[in-house]
Amino acid sequence: MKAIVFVKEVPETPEGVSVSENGQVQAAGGGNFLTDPIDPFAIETALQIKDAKGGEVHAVTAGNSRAEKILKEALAMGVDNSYLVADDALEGSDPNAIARVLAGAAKKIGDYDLLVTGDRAADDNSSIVTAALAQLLDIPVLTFVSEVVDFDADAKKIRVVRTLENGRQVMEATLPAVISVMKGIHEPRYPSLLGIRKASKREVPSWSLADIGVDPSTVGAAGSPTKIRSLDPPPAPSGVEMITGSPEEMAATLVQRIMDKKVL
Amino acid sequence: MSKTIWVVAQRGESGISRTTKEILGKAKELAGDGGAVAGIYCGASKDGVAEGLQAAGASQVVLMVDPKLDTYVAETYTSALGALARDRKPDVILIPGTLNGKELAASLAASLDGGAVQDCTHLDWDGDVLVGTRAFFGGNLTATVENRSSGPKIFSVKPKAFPLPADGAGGGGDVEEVAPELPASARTTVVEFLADEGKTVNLIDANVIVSGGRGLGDPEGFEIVNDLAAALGGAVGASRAVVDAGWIPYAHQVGQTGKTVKPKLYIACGISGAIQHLAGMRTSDNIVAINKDENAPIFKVAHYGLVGDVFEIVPELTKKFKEALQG
Repeated sequence: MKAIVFVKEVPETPEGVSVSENGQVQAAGGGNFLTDPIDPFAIETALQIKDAKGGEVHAVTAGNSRAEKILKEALAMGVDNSYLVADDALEGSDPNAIARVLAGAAKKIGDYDLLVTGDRAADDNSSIVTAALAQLLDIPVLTFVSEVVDFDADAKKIRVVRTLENGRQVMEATLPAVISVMKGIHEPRYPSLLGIRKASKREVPSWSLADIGVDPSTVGAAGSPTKIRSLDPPPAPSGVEMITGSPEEMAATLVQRIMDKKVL
Repeated sequence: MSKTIWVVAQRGESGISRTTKEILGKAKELAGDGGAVAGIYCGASKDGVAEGLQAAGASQVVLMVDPKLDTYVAETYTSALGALARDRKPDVILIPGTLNGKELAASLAASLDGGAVQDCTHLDWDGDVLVGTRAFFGGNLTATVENRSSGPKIFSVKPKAFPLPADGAGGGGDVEEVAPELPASARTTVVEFLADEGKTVNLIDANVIVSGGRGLGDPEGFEIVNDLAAALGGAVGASRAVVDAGWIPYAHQVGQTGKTVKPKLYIACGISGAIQHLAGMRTSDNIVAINKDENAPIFKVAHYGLVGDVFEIVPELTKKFKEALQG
């Protein structure tokens, strides 16, 4: 079994996050970037399949050299290898373009059974990369997975539960396939001290776009089909009427207000 | 400026879904004078679909009917819609922003070599460029995103982002049946669907929603919320915190990662108002917040604020609303 987990760095907090002229999300003063909180769930999902069935797990991210930090965290959790796609041409890439880069990296690693991502990134909340990867690699996709029921590398099949708005859907797909996992699918393991020490000594190979066969004109600010023009605070609230008194008085006043407005 | 706008139809409990209708209303505005709004449907049965799409404003209807399209699956729907879009080249494709709708938007965009913008709550032309507005970072920020794909510009649209068009707003144009282009073999199959708790939680269509959060103390605390919702004929909502804690199923969750709602009356009981919850309910017509902490962020978006013990206030409200509604 060979799995590839795609991870992503995100700004630590939304405070001071802005967008550059070419559409690149940036944190104030170059601020802190961390592993996306959903990613340990994706890594754990792949590691549990490896623990049960054997095989190898790889982690990949695309960005710049700063992202080496999150790949070392993936190594510390127990993935076998981490790869960084770093190229100046990536600046300003939207999620649609990032999917092209990650598809290139998956082809470079090759011979995979399962690709795993988080169900939505903490910063852009887009949920684009997973389904786009499936199209670009011509493999099945299962998004919003809350449970992997069965993984059979010999019969080349995966069965999952997806949690949708009004219920749970059990689906099956042939392998290779790409899945996105929801928070809570498994409790992510903590990296051991030994794991952290070993990871700190590992080299993380860095690939350029040329190394993975991706045309730079299809990514970055110029090659991205969408662009964030601006990031603004949400609209200001209208102002609240505080209703006071005993619980009984408050209830009476509120019911009066609502009845007067003929809401019901 | 006239444009061809496609709206991908989803089925609802009866006929096409409310969100599909809302998007058709907006599409008509975006298409401009002389533009076309086409309702595009994939499914196993066409019963009532064309009429529903026309009534909500579609000037054209395309039906792709095949047993293999019975339940949404990314591969089959992307194949059918992608082939049709490559052939007919619409300017814009709008898709209801359910979880499946978002998967479809991303998949279809990649198959057409373009890009998708997800979960839009506003859509506006800026000259010839269609620009979407969407929550970013769980609603802490609002992103304005342009779609400059060379092919169709694809957007998924949040439920309740746009008003329902008046009935009979349409259309009555051509209804056309097209044989869908489908993959030779199915690599993805739906094994079964397990509906939540045997009854549907219809938050999206509810006029009144009473929601509970951590302030209810434990799962049993929801009893006072259920009672008030029953007295008002409303639905029961919940914050992410109590859904994550397993007090109530995900179907009840309101917020950025749950449902976006816009009822006439929203009563938040013991919900502090994390930004991700506010993102799902802040546009409700009347918001009542009941919380023991007067500094809770929920009061910043509320129209009426009551500071105190939910277990004292909420049963009083149930009693007094019952009296007022009977009187």
